[in-house]
Amino acid sequence: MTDHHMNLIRIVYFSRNVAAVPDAEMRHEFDRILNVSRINNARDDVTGALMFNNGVFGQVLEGPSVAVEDTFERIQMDDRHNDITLLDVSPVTERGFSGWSMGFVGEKGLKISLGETAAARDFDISLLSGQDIYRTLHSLMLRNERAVRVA
Amino acid sequence: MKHLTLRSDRDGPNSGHPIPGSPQGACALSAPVALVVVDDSGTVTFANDVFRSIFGPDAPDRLRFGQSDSHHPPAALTNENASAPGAADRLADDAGAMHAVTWCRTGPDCWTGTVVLPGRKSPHETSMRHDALTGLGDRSSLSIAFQTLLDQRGGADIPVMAACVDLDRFKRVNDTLGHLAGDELLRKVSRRLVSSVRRSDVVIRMGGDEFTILLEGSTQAEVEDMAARIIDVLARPFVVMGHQVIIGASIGLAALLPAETDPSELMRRADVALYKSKNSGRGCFSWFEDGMFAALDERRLLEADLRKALLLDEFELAFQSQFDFHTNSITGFEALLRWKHRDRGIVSPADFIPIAEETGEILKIGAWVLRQACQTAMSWPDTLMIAVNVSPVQFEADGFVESVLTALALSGLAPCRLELELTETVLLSEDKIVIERMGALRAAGVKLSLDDFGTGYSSLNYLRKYPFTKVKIDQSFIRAPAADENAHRIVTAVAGLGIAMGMSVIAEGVETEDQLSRIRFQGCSAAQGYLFSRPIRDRDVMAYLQAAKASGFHPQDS
Repeated sequence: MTDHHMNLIRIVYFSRNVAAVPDAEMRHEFDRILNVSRINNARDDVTGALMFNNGVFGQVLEGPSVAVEDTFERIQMDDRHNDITLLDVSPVTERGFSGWSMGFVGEKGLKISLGETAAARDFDISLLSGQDIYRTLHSLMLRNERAVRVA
Repeated sequence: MKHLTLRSDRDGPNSGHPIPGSPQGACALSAPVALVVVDDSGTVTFANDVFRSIFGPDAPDRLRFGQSDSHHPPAALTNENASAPGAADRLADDAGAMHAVTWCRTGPDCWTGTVVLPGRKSPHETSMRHDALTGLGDRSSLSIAFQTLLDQRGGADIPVMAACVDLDRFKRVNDTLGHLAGDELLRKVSRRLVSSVRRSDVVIRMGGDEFTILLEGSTQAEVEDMAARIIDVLARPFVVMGHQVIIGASIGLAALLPAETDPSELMRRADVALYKSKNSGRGCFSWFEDGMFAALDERRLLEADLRKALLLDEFELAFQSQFDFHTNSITGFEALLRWKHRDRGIVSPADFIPIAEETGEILKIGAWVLRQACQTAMSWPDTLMIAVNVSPVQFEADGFVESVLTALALSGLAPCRLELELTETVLLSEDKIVIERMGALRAAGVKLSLDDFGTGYSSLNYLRKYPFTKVKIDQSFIRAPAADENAHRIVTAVAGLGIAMGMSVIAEGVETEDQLSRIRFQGCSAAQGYLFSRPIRDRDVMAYLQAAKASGFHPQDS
């Protein structure tokens, strides 16, 4: 089935990392979360992207409404995410991240795109609006995609 | 992997099986229902004696089940070809006869199957039926689940507890997004509940937005942790049919008494504890305490009396004057509701208004107050205002604006003489409706005052955002001791801001000359309180006005 026949929605939220764990451990845990979510999302036809800075995740999920809602429920009940703030839920006509089961922009990526100053410790994802998070991720992922193609 | 507390985590692997001849064993044998618990990997984690008697003593090992998940009950794998799944709703016994089995999702990764034997079905027992919407056990399965808990309880000292969970603001979801969304939300709530409890706990949907959790072998602290966790996870946002939905949960907790063998009293106690949670602002849990039933009975009596109070003409209004500093005159009165009960005497509004709001009786009472107040004001000089308190429940109800206009029309009172006093709780309702209703009232000429300012969030933004004509500073600020500088700074700030925005700023609860001179200095434009007048009866209003005029409108102790 193509996206045209589906009830597509997009949700944007941010969450804080639960515990302050050593960077290396977090890196490992983080990779694991990312991998699992990529597998689940590919299976469920959910696409999206995730950014991370200074202990805060900003995430966009998009896809058929039932699948996105189920994914969101799974994340809500995951003890590693707490303090989830849902910024936006809206119907969309097309995906912004088709092809990305879960794109990722980390601190390094933000640093490159925003310049050293903006990506400094005080860049706070939790202060962004749903639109801000979506737009930032969208432009970064497109740039990334182009870079991959060029390479 | 076990369920229905057939065993607890600390027990050995076989302790779930009742000892034949023991009282528990006898109890399980007499149960007319065969019970089997299968986890999602297909492993049988418990079977009761009835099950063993139908399907054979080795049935738990012999029967093979396929994998299951939250949507698909386990299907029996046939003996001949273990790879071909059989139907999920039938099980073959030793002799090859098929028995209908009803599956019920009873935990995060397990299903409980029940088989009712023909001819052995007792009138009191039915099979463990599941709720079609959520897949949880339904109300009728409570007694079976409870009996299973008792059967499997290792000893009398292992506590059994019940938690009644009731969703807050669920009705609003049904009303605004429709029943389909309400149903979907209940499914999501069920899943969050099941993943918030231990595998040995049983979650049952009692109906509507009420759930019960039965727990065995938990300490009080563990039950409280679970309750706090449930309150936390149900307060997290849901996405339902493309909408963000925020609800909450209130919980009542009770423990089974040593001699109790019936769940009904336990449930009644958990329920009355739930009632306390709902009355303590919701989003919390409460344990049952002695005295709760007596308090509840008393409340029910008060509730019944309140229903009759209008008919019996037990309400009356008292009027307290409001004094304006600029005109140096009485500008109007606030109508205050009194309930004179034939036996109880005067019942405080603080005691009966919350009950009236909860039962909806406030709508009738509020309409009476509006009509009565307008009518009374018609007998006063036409420069005088009448201020009437409006409950948030009243304001939110359909037809509120119409009821105000009706009261005005019936009495013939000019709308500009009526002032409605709204507390900020009113402003916490859906903003669009609040603004629309306030706009309609202002357009009709009715004045609006913000009551009890300073007691809640008291955002100064309210003064800008909503079309209030007056702000009433709560008496706690007026009566604050002279040393409480912050309280007095707040009064000065609110007075300055209110007056700058063209509002009248009135101080409530002025009792002494000192307070009066202070609030005048702080910039308030009007005052109300015992210093000017206690609330008086309708028939004393004219005499009071004359006396006040004779004394040059100087405030006097009455």
